[in-house]
Amino acid sequence: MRWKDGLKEGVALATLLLVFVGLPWALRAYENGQVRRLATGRPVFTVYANAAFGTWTTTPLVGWTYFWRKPEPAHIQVRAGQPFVLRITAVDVHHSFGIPQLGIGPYDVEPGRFLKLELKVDEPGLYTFMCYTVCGRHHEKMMGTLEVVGEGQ
Amino acid sequence: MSVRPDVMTESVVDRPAPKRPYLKGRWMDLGERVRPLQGLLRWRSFQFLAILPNLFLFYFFILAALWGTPVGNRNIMIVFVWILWWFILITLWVPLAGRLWCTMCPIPALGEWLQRLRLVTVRFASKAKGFKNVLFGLNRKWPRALDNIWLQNLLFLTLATFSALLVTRPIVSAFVLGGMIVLALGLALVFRHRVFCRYLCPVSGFLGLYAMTSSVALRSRDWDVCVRCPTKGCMLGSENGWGCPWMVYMGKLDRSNYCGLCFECLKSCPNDNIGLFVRPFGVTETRILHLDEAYKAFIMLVLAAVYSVTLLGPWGTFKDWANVTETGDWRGFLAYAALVWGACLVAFPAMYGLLVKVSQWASRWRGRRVLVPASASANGAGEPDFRTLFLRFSYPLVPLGLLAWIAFSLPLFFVNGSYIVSVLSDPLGWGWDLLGTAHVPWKPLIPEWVPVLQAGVLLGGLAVALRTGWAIAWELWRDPRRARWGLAPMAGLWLMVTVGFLWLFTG
Repeated sequence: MRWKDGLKEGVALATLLLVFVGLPWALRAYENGQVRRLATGRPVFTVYANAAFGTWTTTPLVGWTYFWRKPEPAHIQVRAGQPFVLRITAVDVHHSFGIPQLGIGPYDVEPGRFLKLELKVDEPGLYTFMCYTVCGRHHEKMMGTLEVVGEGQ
Repeated sequence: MSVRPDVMTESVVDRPAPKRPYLKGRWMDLGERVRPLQGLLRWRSFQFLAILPNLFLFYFFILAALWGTPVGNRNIMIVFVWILWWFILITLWVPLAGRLWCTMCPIPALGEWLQRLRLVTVRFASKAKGFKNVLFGLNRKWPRALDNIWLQNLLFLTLATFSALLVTRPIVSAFVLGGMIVLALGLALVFRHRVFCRYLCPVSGFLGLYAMTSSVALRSRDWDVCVRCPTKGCMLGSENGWGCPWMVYMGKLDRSNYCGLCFECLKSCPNDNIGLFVRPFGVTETRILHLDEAYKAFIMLVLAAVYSVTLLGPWGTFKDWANVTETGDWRGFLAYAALVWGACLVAFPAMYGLLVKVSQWASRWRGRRVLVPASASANGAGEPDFRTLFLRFSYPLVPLGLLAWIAFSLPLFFVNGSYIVSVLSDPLGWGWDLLGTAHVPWKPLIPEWVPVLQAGVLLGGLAVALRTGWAIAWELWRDPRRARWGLAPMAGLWLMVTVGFLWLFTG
């Protein structure tokens, strides 16, 4: 191979490698940056609403896991008085999110969009969050728990 | 043959009339007119640079389908592939530029690069199994029994049967695209050249069919030059270009079905005898030659109707049958699949055959009542047999089908187009807002004009089909009365098809 051809092939190959390695890295890096910016030192929890299983879950439900992964009901633990962030999305149909004991919500949760809630709960306890929109056959099972633990607990 | 001087450049007119029997109408040699374009197409890096952005995008779409939201209208895989790409492909790319998508398609690229062990340049050898390029892999020849597009037809029908899933579930689209890439790669290591594109790719099948009628075609400028050419570089390769990956010999090429517009022949031709031509849409000079191609035309037309019913129509039961993963109604899905396959492979072709038979009888009956003009016998226009009529009259379904697909695609784009704007800002449904458009609400564009546009497109398709049909009938019978009688049953069917689509779209 002539050196000129070799150079062309080298540049083309480097460009391809850059695409194959760089793109997934860039996507992940940007997403992590977004979450870090949102967090500003606070814990961030991503909650997925799934009507098919009738659950709020923190098990990541994305394209390749949605069809086979059985989501566990969400159980979020925070410390009393500690600010935290909930990122809530729906992976199938419209839902609405609320924690009645804390007077939070209901907020619409659209499929494929994120609802961001910045919260702080001072009173320790076990709170249930639920869906306020009839979302399917398992609507009544749509529950998750927020556990707020006090100092020394 | 005569060449219209008004569309030829000086240099061509000055030479003796070149032998190119397909250049019957108004053809313009773009390469002669726009020299920089010829230079661009002959540039070795051109195809790599054309593929690269699409490879980047398709890779991005696959990552988005795997990692992004499973919600179709919030994932770039569904919105960009099945709304934007599909719309551009079917309404602009195919009618105006034929197989130009194949020039830049990333699906077979990895396989082809591996087969060549080159991304941009050429591996030349004085002799490599009869070719002038060295290819990596087993270099097997594709079986002769499969040297047709039946596999493409069946694969397209299979995908179409699951289309409700394919166009709504990002992960299904990713598996199909990824599967095609892997299959193309595997085949490239076993067989020589692009057998995946030529014989298996479901998209290539319909691109090939509709490229017949499109406005762009790559052709030899003069067949005699090809016949005299000692090297046959276009077919066998040279130090400047690869032998045709589509296994096409330019010295005989008079149809666009199997030319993938990779432009390797422009680079490898030692005589500068290959040109990119522009011609009017809906050419009448081309023809369907084989039953597999005729069936492609039937399948495409019937599927345009099936999609219009399942994706645009108000029939909930039919939609539920098609959307089996949502409803779990497998019995309904089997009924739907049987209906689709039966309509494509049995019912419509049988009806078409019956009408072709009626057309044959009608022209014969009319022929008995008139004297065959001397010009007809002089032209050697004998009585066409059933097979000839069936194949020849299946060609008008190409422009008719293409415009039916365009009409079907219009509401998909205009109704769902606003998703493109929001997905641009949040391509994976991760809550990003890159351009500040993530929260643009869904809003259909000019919904009141869409049926009007669809009606115009469908009537345009009917007009082109009738014009093409008349040219075919005239060529078959060479007598205006017999041609009219022979054409009437077919024209009636095309009219019925158009009315059917109009009813589906405008209610």
